[in-house]
Order: sequence, then structure tokens, then C-alpha cells
Amino acid sequence: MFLTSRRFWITLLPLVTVGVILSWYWSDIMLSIVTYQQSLHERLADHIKQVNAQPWTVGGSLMLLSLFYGIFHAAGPGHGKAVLVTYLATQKENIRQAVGIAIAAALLQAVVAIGLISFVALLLEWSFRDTQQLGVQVQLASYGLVILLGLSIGFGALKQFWQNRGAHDHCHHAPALSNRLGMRQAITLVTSMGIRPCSGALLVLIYAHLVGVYAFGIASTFIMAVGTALTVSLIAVVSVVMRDRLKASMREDDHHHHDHGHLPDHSHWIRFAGAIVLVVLGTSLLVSGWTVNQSHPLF
Amino acid sequence: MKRLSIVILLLWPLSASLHPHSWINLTTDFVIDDNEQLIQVRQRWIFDEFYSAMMLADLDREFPDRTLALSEHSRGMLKSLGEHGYFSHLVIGGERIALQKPVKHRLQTVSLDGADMLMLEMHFDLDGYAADQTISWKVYDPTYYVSMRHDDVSLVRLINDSALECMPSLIEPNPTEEQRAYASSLDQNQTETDGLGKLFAQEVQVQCF
Repeated sequence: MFLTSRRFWITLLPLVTVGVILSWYWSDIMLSIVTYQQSLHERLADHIKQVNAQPWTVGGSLMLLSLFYGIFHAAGPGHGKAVLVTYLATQKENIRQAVGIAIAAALLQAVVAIGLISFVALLLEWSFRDTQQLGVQVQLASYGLVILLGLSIGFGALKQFWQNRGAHDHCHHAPALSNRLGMRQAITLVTSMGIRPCSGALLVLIYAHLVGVYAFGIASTFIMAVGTALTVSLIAVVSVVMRDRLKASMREDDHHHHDHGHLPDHSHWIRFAGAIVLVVLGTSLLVSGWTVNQSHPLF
Repeated sequence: MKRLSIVILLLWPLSASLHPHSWINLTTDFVIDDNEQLIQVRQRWIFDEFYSAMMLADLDREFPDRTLALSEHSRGMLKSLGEHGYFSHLVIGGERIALQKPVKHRLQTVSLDGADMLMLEMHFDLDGYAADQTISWKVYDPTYYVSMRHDDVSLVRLINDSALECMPSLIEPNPTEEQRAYASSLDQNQTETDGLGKLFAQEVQVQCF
């Protein structure tokens, strides 16, 4: 059994340790993140205000700040990352696909933010407050998509499981997840991660418009997306590498020897477990989001 | 439902809406009369630059002039804040005091570093409580969408007409400890809805001798 494998534990131990340390210091980390985020916001506002006077120097450091903001903001807590890690840890995507998902989600986030401010606030003349609240409400849809993704994976895994049982084959070639279904799941994942605009980007866009430098706001939003993509890609790569190492160690020590290097049957169960986690995650986010996002007295 | 709330609590840090995207800098004045009674609390909330700019732009679009806009908007703001106890929690000698409608309030713009910032001022009258008990004061947005903080203890002031010596202190949150208390309080009582904001609330204490 893989549970007695040293390699399995050597891979798992650092993950668990990091998890425990993070949860122990979570509040301290959160507090410093919050303080730091405030000063980042203030510096962003200052740069946007002054960018017109010195477009090159201030503009340059505004872009640098935006990149940093994207990297930093994506490192904070957020449901998108939880969904991505769950998905990648339990499904079959390779590193290239994982990075593709991360980049696509970050770009979508930027496009949604720019679209929201350009069309809803500036063209349709919604108030900025309502536009911003719309951005917050959109995340409920994103939680819905997480549930949908979980259901789709769950049914796919069950279907495959039954098909395999019917085949009475001890050491079969598991039929690869149909490309179309895989693509559909990837799109659902990207949409659930990217459909909610980053609130920081919305603030920057609104402020840039008010100060009369909207173009800089758009540029800053895209640079933020680059930063976000960098962090999320890193998280994605780590998830895939860790998953593959764990799987390899499980396989290595499995008493069954699968000569063609195929996974034994429990890969279905891992996928199914991932599906359940996604459904639970999506549901609880939806429930808590529903109660929290009711009208805020200051907005 | 109990299980569900535990799951929600566990997933709470994941929820993206729950880290602040707006900041309010606080100032608090405690007024103590010559009878050693705490009779009034005055607060100032200074909103951040993004919020102020956005709100002022919305108001300018909505109203013909700024003065009217500010007074109309502050009325609405006060009304909805009132439904949330003005985000303010006053405890004197262990007894929780509910704040009544402010006797005076004003929303205005102040110019800080070349930017117009919104400032909300509220004066709350109190029935009069012996000031020699521990006065505890917390101001927070329970959803933590807005972070509300006194930058340092000098922003807590005492207008003291009595012979008492009073010392304000600012206690930064120590949530690791409270987190567990909160987790168990959620366990016993699901009507508790205060979220992260409570965990990260600063506490102002005033001790008079």
C-alpha cells in the first residue's frame, strides 16, 4: 500500500506542515496583508493622480505597482485558487494546460473589469457604486459555476467507473476523458475563476476615469492581470507537480504492478472526491456569499 | 445547519469578498463632564481616496449641488448605519450600551494631500455612566468589506472636565485566541453573524482613576 511508502510521506509531509503553519499564523498573516494592502491602495491612488504630469516616470512606476498588486493580490485568499487547486489536484491536466487555465482566467478577469466600467458605468451611466456592487454580485454566478463544474466531473467519473466495471477488465486502458467534455470543464473552470472582476482593478479604473487618465487605468488593469497570472500559474504548477509526485509514489508502492504504467482504479475515486469537494465548496461559498453580500450600509 | 455553519467557517478565509477593499480612518473623542460621567462619544470617519472620489462623483451626478448632495446622502447613510448599530460597540464596566441616534452628524469633504476625502462626523449622547469603570470601544464592519482603524492612540482623545486622570489605550486584535472563541460561539449560537470584521476589530480602552 502507498500508505507505507516513504516517498509518499516525504511528499505529503511538507504540504501538511506548511498547511498547519499557515493556519496557525493565519490571523497574523491576514492582518499584515490588510495593512499592506491599504498602503498599496494609497500608493496606487497617488500614482494615478500624478500620472498626467509625468506620464513616463510616474506611469512606469504605476505599471510596476500594478504588476506587484496583481502578484500580491492573487497570493491572498480567494475562492478561485481553492477551486483551481482542487481541480488540478484531482484531475488530469498537465502543466501546460494548468498554466493555460491560470492565464486565461486572469485575462478574463481584466476584460470583465474593463467591460464593466466602460459599458455599464460609462456608457449606460450606472452609478459607480451600483457598478461595483454588480461586480460583487457576479461572484454568486461564479460560485454557481463551481457547483456545476463539480457535478460535471462527478457524473463523468461515475459514468467511467460503471463503464469500466462492465468491461470486466482487470488492467484496462481507462477511456480518456472525452476532449469535448474536458474542454467544457476547463472553460467552466476559467469562467468561474475569471468572471468576477478584481475589486482593485475596478477601483483603479473608476479613479483613473475620474482623474481623466482612463487609458492608464486600462493599462494598469492588464498589468495587474499579468501579475495575477504569474502567481496563479505558480500555484497551478505546484499543484500539478505535487499531484504527479503523490500519484507516482502511490503507484510505485502498489503491490499490483501495472506494466504500462497506468493508474490503478482509484484514480476515479480521486476525481470523484474532487468533484464532491467542488460541490461543497461552491455551495458553501454561495450560501455565505448570499448573506454577506446583501446591501452594505456604506455602498 | 450546525454542520453547514462549521463548513462555512472553515471556508471563510477562502471567500474573496472577505478582505477589505475600503478603509476608514477613525478618530474618537470621549466627553467626560465635571461629575465624572461619560456623557458623549464623538466619532470621525475619514473614508479612503478611492471611496471618496467614487462616492463624490456619484453624488455630483445625482444632485445639482454638493451641499445638498452631502446632507441628503448622510441622512441615508445614517439610517442604514443605524440598522447596524453604527458599526460601534460600547461596553462600560462590562455592560453593553446601545447607541441612540446621533444628536449631531455631518458629512463633509476635507482636503488631505490634494485630494477630497469624505468625512463623516457623529456625536452620540449617553445617559451618563460613571467614567471610573473600564470603557471599551470597538468600531468595525462585521463583513470586513471595510477595514476601520484608529491609526494610533493619539486619535483617541479625552475631553475631560472632571478631576479624574484618564488614559486611553489601543489594543490591536489578537484573533488567534478569539478565533477559537468565535468558532465555539458559532457552534452554540447560529444567530451570530459577525464575521471576520469582529476578529480583526481594534479595541479602544479608557481607564480613569
